[in-house]
Amino acid sequence: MIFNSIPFAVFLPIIFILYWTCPAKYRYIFLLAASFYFYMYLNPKYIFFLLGTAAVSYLLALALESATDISRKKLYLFIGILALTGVLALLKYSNFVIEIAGLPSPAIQFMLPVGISFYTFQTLGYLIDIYRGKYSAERHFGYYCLFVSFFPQLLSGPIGRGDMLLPQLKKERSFDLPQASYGIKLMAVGYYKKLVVAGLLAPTVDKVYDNPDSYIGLIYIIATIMFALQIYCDFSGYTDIAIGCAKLFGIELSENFKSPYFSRSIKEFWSRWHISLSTWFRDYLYIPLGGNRVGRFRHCLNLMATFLVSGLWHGAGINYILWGGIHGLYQIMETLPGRNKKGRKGKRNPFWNFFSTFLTFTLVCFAWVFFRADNLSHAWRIISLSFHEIGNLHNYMRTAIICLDMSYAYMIYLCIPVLLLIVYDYASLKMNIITWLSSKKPWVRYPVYMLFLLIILLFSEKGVSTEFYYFQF
Amino acid sequence: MKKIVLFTAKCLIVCLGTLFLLFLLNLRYEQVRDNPYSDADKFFHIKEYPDIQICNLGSSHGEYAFKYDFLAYLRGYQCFNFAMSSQTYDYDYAILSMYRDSFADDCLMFIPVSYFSFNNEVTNESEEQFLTAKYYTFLSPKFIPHYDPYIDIVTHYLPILSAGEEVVKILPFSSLSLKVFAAAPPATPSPEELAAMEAQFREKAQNRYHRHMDGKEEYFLQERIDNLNSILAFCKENGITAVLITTPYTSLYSELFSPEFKEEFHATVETIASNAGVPYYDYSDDGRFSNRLELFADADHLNDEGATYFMDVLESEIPEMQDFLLRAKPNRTQ
Repeated sequence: MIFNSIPFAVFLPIIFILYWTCPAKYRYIFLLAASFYFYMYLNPKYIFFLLGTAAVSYLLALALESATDISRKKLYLFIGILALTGVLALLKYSNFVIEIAGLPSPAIQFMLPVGISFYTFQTLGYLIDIYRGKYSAERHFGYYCLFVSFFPQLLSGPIGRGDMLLPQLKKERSFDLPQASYGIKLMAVGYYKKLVVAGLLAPTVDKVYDNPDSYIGLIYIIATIMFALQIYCDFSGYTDIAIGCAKLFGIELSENFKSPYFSRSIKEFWSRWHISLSTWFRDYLYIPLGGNRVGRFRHCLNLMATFLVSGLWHGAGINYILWGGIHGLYQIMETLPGRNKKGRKGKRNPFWNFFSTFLTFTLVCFAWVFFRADNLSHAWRIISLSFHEIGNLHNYMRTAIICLDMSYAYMIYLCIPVLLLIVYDYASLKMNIITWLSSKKPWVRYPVYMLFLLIILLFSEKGVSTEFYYFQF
Repeated sequence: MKKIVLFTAKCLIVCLGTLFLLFLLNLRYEQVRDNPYSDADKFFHIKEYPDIQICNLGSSHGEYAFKYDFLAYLRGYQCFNFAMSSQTYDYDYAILSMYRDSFADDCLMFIPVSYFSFNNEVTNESEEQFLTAKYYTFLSPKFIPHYDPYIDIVTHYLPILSAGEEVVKILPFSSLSLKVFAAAPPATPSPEELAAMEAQFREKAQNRYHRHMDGKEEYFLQERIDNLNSILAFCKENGITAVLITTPYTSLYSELFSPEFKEEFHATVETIASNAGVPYYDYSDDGRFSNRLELFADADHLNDEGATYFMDVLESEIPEMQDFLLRAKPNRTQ
């Protein structure tokens, strides 16, 4: 089931009412059944992968905790990592490896269960935490299963941590009106990002990136900026819906995005973009590799390795690895001597802030070209011909406008939601908009809520139901 | 529990308030919009034709080829063109079922059979949704194949929801819906442009051919054949004289189809016709049309002049039509 579908619009209110009317001690069973139904709605066969992952990690975590011998602990952890990443590698990367090696395609094509990258990483993180003795292994299989399969975060995260999520799932709680109220508003913001902004930008992005040979010049830059906004709205929209949805059940999930395009460096960007994944890589890969507490060369290698793996996590393709490598390179460049000093000096200078934000956004967009393009030759064409005939500025712009083939009405239709998003994200840097709005008088806030819902209804794409972009990862 | 009720009530208030505003905006939108389904408007006038005597079904081929001006206005027959762009046989059948009481006892019905009739002309999901949506404006839900209440709401009851960028028309500066670089209106064609017409037709023929044939391995779908058989059975039950017909195409279009395809197509249609006991006439390769581009609007659609000529040809050549015109009295009362 996907969040932007009619079945989910029916599913959620029913589950919400039944959950809160159910006796507190049985709520987890109810939520678990709902989560399984939610997942099986996409494809009933997927449940075997989910249950298999949950069972293997549950048993290994218990074994890890009970083992007294460090070598035995290491063995259990090794088995866990091998089993979980093995399944992921087999399902997600086997075709890629076969293609790279130039081998003939296998007779059996594996299906890739939706969300497997997310719940595999969640369970891997849990096993490593148990190995490190960060918290105790969960003994109740029902609660553990719910930790792995909790439906709001199941398909695209945020990737949860055991110490944060498990105690919440076990706690018998009563309905918290402000929390639920915040949750439903956050869901509305998520739907706005996904259905309105991402939905509006997607056709133009697809048009250019699916047929790059048909275009030239400024249109590539416009499409890339649009893609940057599309993927942000698509993914952060999903996350907002997931976090808001969990709040309706009294569960707090971790924040995943904090206005990333207002970052003033790539390092800051990664502290604001897909936070649950970047902190996962930080805690379970980058720091174990030595982090920055090693020599400069080794530090650079650690950064590059982390980002290459991050790229590979996003997709089985050279372009994704290259995208990760570019971000790794950016990070390495930022660690060069003198670079940080400048950054600190410029912190109080508004011009420098603007310039560094613009530069960071440009660098991020450059990397997105590799992420979105179908292959490297398309990416190269887009990069090399983006400034074609820029000397004749009038023609350069005119060609792009003709290629966009937009009416003024469509431009207005496109610009209003995008500007609203930029204002929302910028204001979010200074304050929590939802909390601020909730503190206003009802005659102020209620019309705003209605207007916002109206914008979602009027501006969203209602023709064909589209899947969330990040599902493929 | 009290808190949950309060929360639910607040959510409902916001939702109902939004729906009320939406309803008001929809009223405004219906006043200012351009109807995207204007080709379906003719069905709102069907009550003016209580005893249809001559009619046709079909897709745009039928829509363009059958022109009843002469038969209707000068000779007084009640004629109706049920064809619409990309209309498939299941929608033809839906229309027949909906208006089953509108046909005269001795009605003559042309059922166009095009090269793409036994497959799906539209393969793009959004185009299919758009083409399907127009039937929600005039057909009752019970007659609409695969009825979807969601489409009914967003296209029929609250069209503002499917307005897209057209929604800005409700704003005061609605006249801004012009293209940034609007194309100039077509001028009278020069001799060079006329010479370019053939090239244009050829290109359109190629496009149409690819639209109809690409990506279709099994071309003659049993589902479509069954749909056509249902229509023929309906005609038999209701005393309607059915005539299967393939409308004229330019040679630029028909020559793109292989002889094997045409052979299979004709064999399929003739089997259906003989099983149902109805006649079949094929004008697809008729030299009186196929090499005269001036009779066509594009590679496979007749223009007004071509349609008028086609109706004359039918009247002079089709025995069923001649019989009908001899025995049937015009139903026009005015």
